[in-house]
Amino acid sequence: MRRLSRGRRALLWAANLAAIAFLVLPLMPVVLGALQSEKALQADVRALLPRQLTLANFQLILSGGARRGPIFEQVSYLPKSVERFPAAFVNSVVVASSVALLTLLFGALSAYTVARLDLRWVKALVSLALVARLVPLIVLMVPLYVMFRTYGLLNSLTGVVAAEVGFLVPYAVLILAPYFASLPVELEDAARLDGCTRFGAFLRIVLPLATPGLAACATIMFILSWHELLIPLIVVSRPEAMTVPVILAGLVSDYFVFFTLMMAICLLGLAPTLALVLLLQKYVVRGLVAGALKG
Amino acid sequence: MLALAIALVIDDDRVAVARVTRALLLVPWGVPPVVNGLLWSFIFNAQYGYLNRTLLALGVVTEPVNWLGDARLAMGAVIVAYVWRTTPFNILLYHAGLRGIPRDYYEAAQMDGAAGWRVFWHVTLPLLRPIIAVSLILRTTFAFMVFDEIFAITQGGPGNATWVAAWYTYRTAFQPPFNVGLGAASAWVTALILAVAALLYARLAGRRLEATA
Repeated sequence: MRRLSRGRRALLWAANLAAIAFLVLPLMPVVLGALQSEKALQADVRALLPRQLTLANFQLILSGGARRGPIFEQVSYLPKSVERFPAAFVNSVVVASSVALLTLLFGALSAYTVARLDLRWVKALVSLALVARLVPLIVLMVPLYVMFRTYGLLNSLTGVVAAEVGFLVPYAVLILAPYFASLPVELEDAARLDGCTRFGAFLRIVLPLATPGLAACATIMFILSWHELLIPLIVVSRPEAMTVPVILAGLVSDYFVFFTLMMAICLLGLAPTLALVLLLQKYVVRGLVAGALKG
Repeated sequence: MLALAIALVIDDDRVAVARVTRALLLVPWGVPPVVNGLLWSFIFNAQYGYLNRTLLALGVVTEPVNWLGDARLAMGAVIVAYVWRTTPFNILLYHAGLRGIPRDYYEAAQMDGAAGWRVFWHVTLPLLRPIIAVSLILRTTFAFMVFDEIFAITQGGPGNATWVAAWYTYRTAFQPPFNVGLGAASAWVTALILAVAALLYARLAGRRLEATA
């Protein structure tokens, strides 16, 4: 490849730095806010960097409001979200893991059908999956609520998981189907000749080969489930079953909440998925692109 | 369009920093939508927000601007927040598209004496057209459903300047006076509008699936 001229290189560097700024800069206020006390934030409304840093916000949240420390000692009002955060965090982990696992299970089975079996309705059903992905969630909320009330699934993590799995499986199929289709058929055929059933071949040949694709899919599903606000917001009204986004949403209409405290909760809420995205970036990218273009 | 620009910027492997940008590409996508909303409501906050701090420090404005109190500015604020979170996904699509264009095409174009913008206009853009179409449709439909950012930043306010379709449905059906019938009706109207876009997308993407299967 030809070497770049100096001017073009400088231009590309500048453009890339601008892109990085665009991607990362909006997160800075969260960090800066989370690390200072509300007093410090209000003292100087023009300062960009805080004069002194503190971890008091995190102490308070992670202890569920128990360990107040000197900063919060005088504070008479604490939003309920602070007390509920540790429990909600656990809930979110449970929900997101179950959702990732179940969508992977159902998604892998139907994606295999799409990729390998030439059944009559498969194509129509895939189109349906594409359409299903574009149905706005809010449209489904009224019927979902009515249905879940009948079946007694309201206010339970099971209900949240069931609803999210239902909504995400089509997407999982779209991510996995092209991946399965790209695996060589010959290996499967060989296994079948050696006496494997189709399901046996699927278990022993296809799934191990598809591990990267499955990892991508599971990661994406975990992240999407972690991010989901609307489903748990509608399904759950009992504090014990709330997930992190619901807790965060509880801060919204709270006019007395400290911004610094809010940013600290936000930071804790976004940390898991941000870490996943950065660590498993390669897989996630592949999965997202496959799900949107080839599927 | 912003996404396409960034995709072009990060495509050239000859600049080392492009790799860093690519590694950070998904950062906004990893931020939960609610957090994104709260985060931007902090940035835009008139008294303590970092946007006003930055602008004041740079001397762009002399008085703090009340971003979320002004009907027109508030919608802009919501859009900025939403765009920031969702752009990476589109960058990815374009990036994949750019990678899919064979090098030969560029070399052929250079042989014929085309350079710079002309190559982009006559080679890159036409080849990217299907991806641009897919990304536009996805983007439009998803933007139709934007809920979390509205919820967290403006709650439909000030006044009713930022009432979007999803917010309307939520408010009518799930908050007092719990008019579930009206909410369901508005949900149906939204669904019908989006169905058209969805069919279009299914046809575009479906054709590709048949090609790969």
